[in-house]
Amino acid sequence: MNEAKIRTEEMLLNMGPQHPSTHGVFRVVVRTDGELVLESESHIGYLHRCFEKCAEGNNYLQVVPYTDRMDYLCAMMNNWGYAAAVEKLAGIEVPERAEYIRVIVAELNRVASHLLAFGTYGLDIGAITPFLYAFRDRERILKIFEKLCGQRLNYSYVRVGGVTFDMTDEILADIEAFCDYFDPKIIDEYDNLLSYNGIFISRTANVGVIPAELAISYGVTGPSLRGSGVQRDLRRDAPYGIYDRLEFDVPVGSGEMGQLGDCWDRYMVRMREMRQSIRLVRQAVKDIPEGPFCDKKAYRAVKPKAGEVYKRVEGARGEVGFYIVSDGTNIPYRVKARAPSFCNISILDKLTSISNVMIADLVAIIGSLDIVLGEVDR
Amino acid sequence: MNLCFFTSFFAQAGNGLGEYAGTYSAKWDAGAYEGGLFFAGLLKWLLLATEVPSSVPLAGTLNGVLGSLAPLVSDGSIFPELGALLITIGVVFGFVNVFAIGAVWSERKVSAHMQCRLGPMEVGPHGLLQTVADGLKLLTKEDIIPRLADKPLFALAPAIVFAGVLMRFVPLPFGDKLIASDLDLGLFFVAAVGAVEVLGVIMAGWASNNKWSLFGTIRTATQMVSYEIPIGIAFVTVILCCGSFSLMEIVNQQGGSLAATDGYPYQGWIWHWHLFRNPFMPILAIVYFIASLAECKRAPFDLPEAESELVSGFHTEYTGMRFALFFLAEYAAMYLVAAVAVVIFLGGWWSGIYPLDALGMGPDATIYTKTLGLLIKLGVFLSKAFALVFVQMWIRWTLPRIRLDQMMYVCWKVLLPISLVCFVGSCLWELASGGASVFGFGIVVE
Amino acid sequence: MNIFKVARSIWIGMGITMKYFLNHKKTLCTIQYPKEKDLIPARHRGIHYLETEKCVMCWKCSDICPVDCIYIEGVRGADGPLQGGYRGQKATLSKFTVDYTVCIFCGLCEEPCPPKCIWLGPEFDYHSTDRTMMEKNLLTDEVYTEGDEVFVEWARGENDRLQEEKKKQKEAEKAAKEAEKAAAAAEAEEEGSDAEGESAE
Repeated sequence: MNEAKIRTEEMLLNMGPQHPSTHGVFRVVVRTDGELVLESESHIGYLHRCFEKCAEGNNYLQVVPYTDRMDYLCAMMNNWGYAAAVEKLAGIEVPERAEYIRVIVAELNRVASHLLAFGTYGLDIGAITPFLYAFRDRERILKIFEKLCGQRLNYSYVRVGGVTFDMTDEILADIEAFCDYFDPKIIDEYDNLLSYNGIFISRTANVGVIPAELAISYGVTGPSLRGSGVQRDLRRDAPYGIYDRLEFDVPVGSGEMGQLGDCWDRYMVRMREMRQSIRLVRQAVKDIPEGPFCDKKAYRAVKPKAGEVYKRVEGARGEVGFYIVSDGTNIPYRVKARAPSFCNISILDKLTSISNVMIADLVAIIGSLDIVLGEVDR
Repeated sequence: MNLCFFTSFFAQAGNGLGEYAGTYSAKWDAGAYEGGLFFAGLLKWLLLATEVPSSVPLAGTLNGVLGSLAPLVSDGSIFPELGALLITIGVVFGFVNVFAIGAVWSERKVSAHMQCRLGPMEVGPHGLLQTVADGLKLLTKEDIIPRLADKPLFALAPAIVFAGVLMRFVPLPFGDKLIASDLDLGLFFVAAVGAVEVLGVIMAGWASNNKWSLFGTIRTATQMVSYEIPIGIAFVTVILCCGSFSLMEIVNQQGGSLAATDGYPYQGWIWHWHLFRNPFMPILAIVYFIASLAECKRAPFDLPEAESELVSGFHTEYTGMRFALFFLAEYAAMYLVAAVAVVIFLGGWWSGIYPLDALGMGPDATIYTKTLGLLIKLGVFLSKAFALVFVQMWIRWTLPRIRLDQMMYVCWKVLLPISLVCFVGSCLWELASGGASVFGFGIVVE
Repeated sequence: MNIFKVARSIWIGMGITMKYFLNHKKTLCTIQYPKEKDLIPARHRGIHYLETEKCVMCWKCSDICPVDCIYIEGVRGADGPLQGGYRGQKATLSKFTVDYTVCIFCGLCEEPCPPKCIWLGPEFDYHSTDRTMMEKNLLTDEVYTEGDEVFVEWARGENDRLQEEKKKQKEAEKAAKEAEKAAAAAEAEEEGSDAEGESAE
């Protein structure tokens, strides 16, 4: 390096699309002064796959596999959001057994997604072992899903009018066994290993504090919003399916280890949500009725009347919304997906400008927002 | 090789053993002993004992070559000390390499067992040859130097890092009198030469012409230099308690050399180790252990190579054998700090059980008990060092990484005050107890 | 964050990993693939299988596929004019391939099939060295080769030719019928005029 060109002020650093900690192809250009980040600029679009355009060329049934691949970590919820929107538009009734099955698979998928968030967050912070433990437990859930619908990640299971396959007693027994294995023992172990670890707390407490009003104004939803103390959960506030019959708590952050709305709060909301999800699964497994598992006629030939609908469900990362415009044919005119990670990640640039963030903290913040680039870029 | 080879080998070996016993046991007792000469003697004995069987082609020539090599190795030849020196370097270097191979394998196995999986199983039984395969792979990789990198510095950096670590092995004992060179300034040498490693790391990061490597370098410079201070204070405390810098002397005192009576030079039990010398020593040992983790750039202090942030830190741009040198240096440093901890706190090669330690010591020991005692002490030392290396691995796979400013906080605001308090407390204790350790003996302060 | 709390939490964490280390035989959760393999559940969605005799060539699976990876060509009718090909009960197929560089294993093609002859099976490791070899010919359960393409080209040509022949035949028959009708009409006119003539007289 030529001596005359060595500068000692700010450095422009590219946390490029390929980086171990950006949870996908996500580019952040940061201007740093040593380790302190002065300004950051996010660039997305590296994973854009034209989901919304593809939806305009396929009929309502064919769009379902595309919705899987938006947020591939909680595919059941994407499927459910889309199916619920089309059902609302076309006025299709879903049998009760299908609703119970939907709740079971969605909550199990939420547990799987939060497990992955927990594991990869540990990896970002530097603890490698919790990742392996999280994947061991996630593997059990994926095995259950494989028995149920044949795939481990992109299920296409929840469709318009119900679900694709019936849930057998053997699978229900497996789910119960998993709940008994997972609920108090394993989550307590995760808490002892990572959540209450002194080093982890010092890395995540008081880091990336998102005040509640800022979160609401940027459209942040899901655990990232609840971590800032805002009581907002679509399963309780705008219930869909049979959530109004089930009992569960909605954990919110409380500034236990640092300030309200820091990374530790968001992370802890996810850990507590896992317990609540298992509680929901247990209730649904106990009360599941007999009956048909889908409305076959509706499922084969969906042709809603002309109109538009917006339907939202509580995904693992926030509010998954589908806005569908129909023109009376069996091919949707327009499908717009509201991805929670897209709004969640938009707060990153604001955070770096309002608080003192170091490079290591940047990684911690991105991890705590728990984004999936598949749904940021669709 | 047929059976003839082995029978003739052992027949010759029987002859050679007598010479080994005669020549070298005298030197051993005289105390004027350098480890290199020990190994040289062993090698000469092996060379004399080996006779290539006549079925091998050119058997006669080979035997002649081996026979002529033997005197070159030890005394009566042109450069006896140089030969011994080269052998010493070879043994230490060989140990470092073999240890690195074993340590990488055991790190992968330890991490795998902690993470509910198996680790390497394919190459060799239970994956024992995995590191050898990895080493071969690294050797055959393309050597890439970035276009705008500073080529001389880039090429020199891994060598300097490895040399800095290897030099610290010089005054380090492996067992009773198994030492490359018993320097009078042993512990001081170990602490001071470690700075060369820091220089190498800084060169590596700067010469890579990569902003992420630069981050790793800056973090390393601050980390390694800062954590040398608690380590230095720990060393100074031990030196003050022992009265000597020499590592062998420090260990011998833990064996009870200062209470020597009735012909048996060492009378130590486990409570004579420096760890139990005064109540401040255990705290100091923990402080030293944590600071040495930071010196080795091991988790939770692995910011310089923070994989999830900087890909690979200061050695991101290194491939092939250059990267292998950094890797080797890291594992060598792991062993080094563990061995130094064993030497200054955990009693070195003394097992802490007096009858076991007394084997081969004293005036009426035969050459066989001497050799057995030596091997036992070597085994004890290595076991303790490997146990500490295991603890280092255990910590790495459990704890998350600490941030730069928190690391500085821990060093300057936690470890340094604690180590200073322990230092002052130890000094006062030594004065008050008259130089005696907690359980009895020591030097008397005049 | 006082130092004793930190040390205690670190100690508890290390206890957990040590517990796993000492019980590693019981807590092992991996298997040595490919020496040991896991059981594949019945509903697993892998490579397609086709029961050729049952296929009626309705193209429903090809239509429902969201990514258009199924290619079907053939002739309906068991005694279709095509020679060779794969004669089923209701159709003679000359091409039925799935392109696995495109297929997303969604399983949508299973349901619309009326005789339920296509399904996704348990095999999942379908590999090749070349992108062009990733099409599986379900009629032979082999990779779709150039020879298959030649056959399909010929089959298309044959089909077109036979369709042309059929069309000509139909036209000829139609022309003959028209001619007959015209002749009959002419006769009827004559008879009518005769009848009129007769009635007039």
